[in-house]
Amino acid sequence: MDIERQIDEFVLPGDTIALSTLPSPLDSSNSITLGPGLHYDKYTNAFTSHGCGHVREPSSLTYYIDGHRLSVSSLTTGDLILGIVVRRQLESLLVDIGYNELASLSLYDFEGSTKRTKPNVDRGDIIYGRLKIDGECQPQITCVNDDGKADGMGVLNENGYLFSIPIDIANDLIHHDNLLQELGNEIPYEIAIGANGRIWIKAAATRTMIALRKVILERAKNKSDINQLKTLFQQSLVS
Amino acid sequence: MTETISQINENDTSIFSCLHCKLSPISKATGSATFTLNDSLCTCLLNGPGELRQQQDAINRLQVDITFQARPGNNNTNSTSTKDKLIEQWLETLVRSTVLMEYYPRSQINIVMYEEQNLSGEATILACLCNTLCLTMLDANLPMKYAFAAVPIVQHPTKGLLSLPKTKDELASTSYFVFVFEITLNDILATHASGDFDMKILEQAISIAQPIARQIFQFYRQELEKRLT
Repeated sequence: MDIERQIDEFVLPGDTIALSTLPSPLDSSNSITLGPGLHYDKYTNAFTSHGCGHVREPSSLTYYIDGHRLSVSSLTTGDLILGIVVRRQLESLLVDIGYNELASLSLYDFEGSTKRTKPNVDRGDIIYGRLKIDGECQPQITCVNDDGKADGMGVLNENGYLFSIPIDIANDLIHHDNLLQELGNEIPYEIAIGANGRIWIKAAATRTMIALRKVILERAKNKSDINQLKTLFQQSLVS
Repeated sequence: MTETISQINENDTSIFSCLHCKLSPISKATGSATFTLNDSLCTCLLNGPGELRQQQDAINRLQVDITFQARPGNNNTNSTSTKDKLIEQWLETLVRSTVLMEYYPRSQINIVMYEEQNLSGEATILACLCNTLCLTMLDANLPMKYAFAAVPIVQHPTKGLLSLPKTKDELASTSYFVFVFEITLNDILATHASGDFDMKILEQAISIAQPIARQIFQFYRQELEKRLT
């Protein structure tokens, strides 16, 4: 309506947002990049929101609307994701990745799988695989690389623990994993991060898994620095 | 028939006692919402945008399928009555007007709306359905041009025009209006009216409904933001 919303504010579709004023169209060095959910109306010179969520500015002059839901714009082909098997069909599995639709995973897309020896996967198992998605068709997952090797993908051990975190935090952890390496120096553990906002961890003791989850969620909430998180981890291990 | 307008003397927070909602009650659907407006309750769920499974027309746009399931009551048949089909079509025009259909070619969304409880009359249930539909689309994060909200107004024989009427008042009323407003300019998107009235009463009803719509948008903001914390 009349109120212009600011960055990091919650918006509904149709709200106008106060981003930086548009520079002259000939000045290409200062162009604004609008991500999913934002729209510029050249007749009214206003930025409007087309989605529901928080306005974020991940880098200067780049904006998008964080809808807190997995959408086609948050996943790309080639992402590694964590899914839960919902159904086993004759030649494929239906996997829930938190998206609108269930993804399909062919039973032949596992390492060493042939017509006679299909893998032992059933409903409830956790899958780590590579995603192939475009807006229109059903998403597909594969658990082998081009050379036929699994390389860490496939069915994950049932003794691990799966939980969800916001998608941007998951992507951040995938690219900047020094926190995870430091925690690994303290106690060994296994971790799989899915770009669909899911994390699977496995450690020898339950206490370690709980402490790891606490640290990751703390990082998601507050973005504290590494040393503070390490102390939190050590405290959680003891208490 | 009196022509007085009842003044809205209550303070702003009082309309929030008529509205309640629960977001994502159906966790398997892309988006879902349950909304209560006075004594009417509706649930809606949305699945999509997903692969187009039928050979329907939408090649370069989104295919929208809405199903409305009324409370099985007086008509003992299982099929949808003509009045309910009209409601489906009316809601479909609302969806088509706001959803950005060009973003999803060769895809479809399925919307199912359930009327769970209706103790008052037509106005409240229609408004409840519209608001539930909008909340569901917001919960599913569908790209929309604007959010919308519906306000029911009835014309009571003695009390005049009442907005968000209580059940007793609505059942005693002779005519009713349902106005759907959009969020950007608070303009009317859709109207449904029934009964005996003239243009002056219609305009008075619109002017009563506009501030109420603003409060309903405020309610949407609060509830959706609460979902995230």
